[in-house]
Amino acid sequence: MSKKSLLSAAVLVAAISAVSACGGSGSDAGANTEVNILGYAALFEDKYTEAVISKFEEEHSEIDVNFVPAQNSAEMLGKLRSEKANPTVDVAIIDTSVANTGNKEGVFSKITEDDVPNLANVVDMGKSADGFGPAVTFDNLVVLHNTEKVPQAPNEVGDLWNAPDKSVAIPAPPDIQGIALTVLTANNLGDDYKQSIDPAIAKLGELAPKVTTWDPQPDVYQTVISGQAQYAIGWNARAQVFSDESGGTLGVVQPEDGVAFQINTINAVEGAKNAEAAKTFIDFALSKEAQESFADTMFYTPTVSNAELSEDTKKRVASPEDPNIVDIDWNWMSDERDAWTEQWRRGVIGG
Amino acid sequence: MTLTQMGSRKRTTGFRSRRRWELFGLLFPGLLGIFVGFVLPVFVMFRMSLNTHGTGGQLVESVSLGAYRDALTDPFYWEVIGNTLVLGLGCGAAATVLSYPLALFLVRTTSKWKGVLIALAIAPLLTSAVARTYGWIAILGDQGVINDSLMRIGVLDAPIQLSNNLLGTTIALVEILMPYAILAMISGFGRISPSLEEAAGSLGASKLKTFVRITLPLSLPGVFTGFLLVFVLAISSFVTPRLLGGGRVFILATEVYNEATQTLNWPLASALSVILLVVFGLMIAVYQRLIAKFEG
Repeated sequence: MSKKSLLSAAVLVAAISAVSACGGSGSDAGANTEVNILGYAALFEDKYTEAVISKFEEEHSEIDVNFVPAQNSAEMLGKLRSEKANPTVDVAIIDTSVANTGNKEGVFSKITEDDVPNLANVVDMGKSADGFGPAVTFDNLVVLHNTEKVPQAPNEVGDLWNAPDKSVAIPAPPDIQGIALTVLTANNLGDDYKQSIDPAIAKLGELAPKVTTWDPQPDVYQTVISGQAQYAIGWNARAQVFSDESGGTLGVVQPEDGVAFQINTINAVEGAKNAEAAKTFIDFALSKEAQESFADTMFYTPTVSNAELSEDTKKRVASPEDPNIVDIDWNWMSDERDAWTEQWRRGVIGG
Repeated sequence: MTLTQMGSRKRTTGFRSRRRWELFGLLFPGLLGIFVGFVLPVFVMFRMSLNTHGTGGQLVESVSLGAYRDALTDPFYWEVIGNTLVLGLGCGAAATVLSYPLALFLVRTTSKWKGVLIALAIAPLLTSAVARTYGWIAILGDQGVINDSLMRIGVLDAPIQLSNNLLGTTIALVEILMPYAILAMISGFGRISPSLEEAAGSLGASKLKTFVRITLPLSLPGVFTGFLLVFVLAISSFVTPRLLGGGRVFILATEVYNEATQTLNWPLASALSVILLVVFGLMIAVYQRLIAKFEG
């Protein structure tokens, strides 16, 4: 072998050794492992980092958490679909109806109590019948109003029908807030939404003249705070935060005529590179400490039975044991969303 | 054939072959860019449109025209296609009419500020369409500048709805897209020789007659280019219809977004995108016919 060949081989061996030594494996002795969490961007990211992730990192200093933000659940599923063969995230916090689609497509793996002991504390409404990711947050539909422009606060969803013309903002389907409003309207009429929503659509058609926008921008909360609309519907957690930030201009009412829950699930990504760290994080996210902290910070209802909330937080979140809960089968709904959207466009928005 | 002639032909053939390879070499980076950035994504989108939409938004790999059948047999999507065309044609016509005199003035002016005036005409492009759309929300809203002013001076008792509908969307889009029409027309009008108008004038034609018989026909290729540009930008616009439509403006771009990101029906979203592409193609074919007619 010539000197030149020997030199080349030596350089190659040295390079391979160097690459092996610096390899991205998080399992090297002394190096931190990581866990990549896919979740909602902006407000959720900020509050979740503050309330949960920072506490997790304090408790598990050997694991670094990276939050990967996305605008909505569908965007998250799109990302997970596109990188199914080589996922770059380990955990996804995602709406239950979209998570159900991911479960069917094999995007997420099942979770057991052996892997995640705190799964045992998740309330029945938050458990997956098929053993996939459980609920990590509950939220509920609330009625919003601008306290500076509305003299008498509404008490229930039904009060929206008494609002002045062009004063209400409703995020129409396919937005799930519009879907939840349809369920509550059907419930108020004494109908089973799984049988027919025709009477609810007719009732919502009567609401149409009161509505200024069916697609509030940039979101329903700012639309009410700025006075572009005086009434609206929205999700409790964000509404409570924006109510505080607006100095009370945004009024939030827990409706007396029905509580409609929305569920975010926490899921282990199938084929995740940091599967063990992912299980550790999911277990922490379902712990009493994390659930209470996030409820105090962003007013999401805890999904575990052992969480104890302060009196102040209790007043601002709905309880999963509230007798007024109108049960929504979000998995069933994911098949009906297109049809409901079409009914809205024909019978409510265009009606 | 002599040996000299054969040698000469061989050299010519070799030269042509080398020229062809040089040409290909020069075009290759651009062709590669078009293939990777346009042809491949369009193919992937077309392939996606042949998949089917399973229960709960599940994506089922298949080869089916079901998504096209769903789109083309549902009256709602015909209404969406109609709305898209109305928006495109309305914006195209309004932007063309409003931009024409400005473009003609900018081409003809002999002012020393001509460069500055042209820069001012296209300056709105320096601001994003999102920011300008929010500006229009502030102007057209129920508590916006227009309604507020008209109510203060007693013209109106209650605000008129200028936003959260097709009217507001069209007004904003026309303003947002006008610089493109102006630019296209300026480049088209530059080819009109002023000596033709001077000749018409010297033969006794009035200014109006000169405009109708000389200037307008000669400027039509520029007008068509401006119209086409605004039309394609309007029918593919998403931000302005989304922000100013108030959930009442259903066009192809907003439906593609809803199907892709809300109901997770990717095959239908892809099929609607392909339909939008076909509308583009048809419009470009019409444009080329018109250009051939007026230039040929």
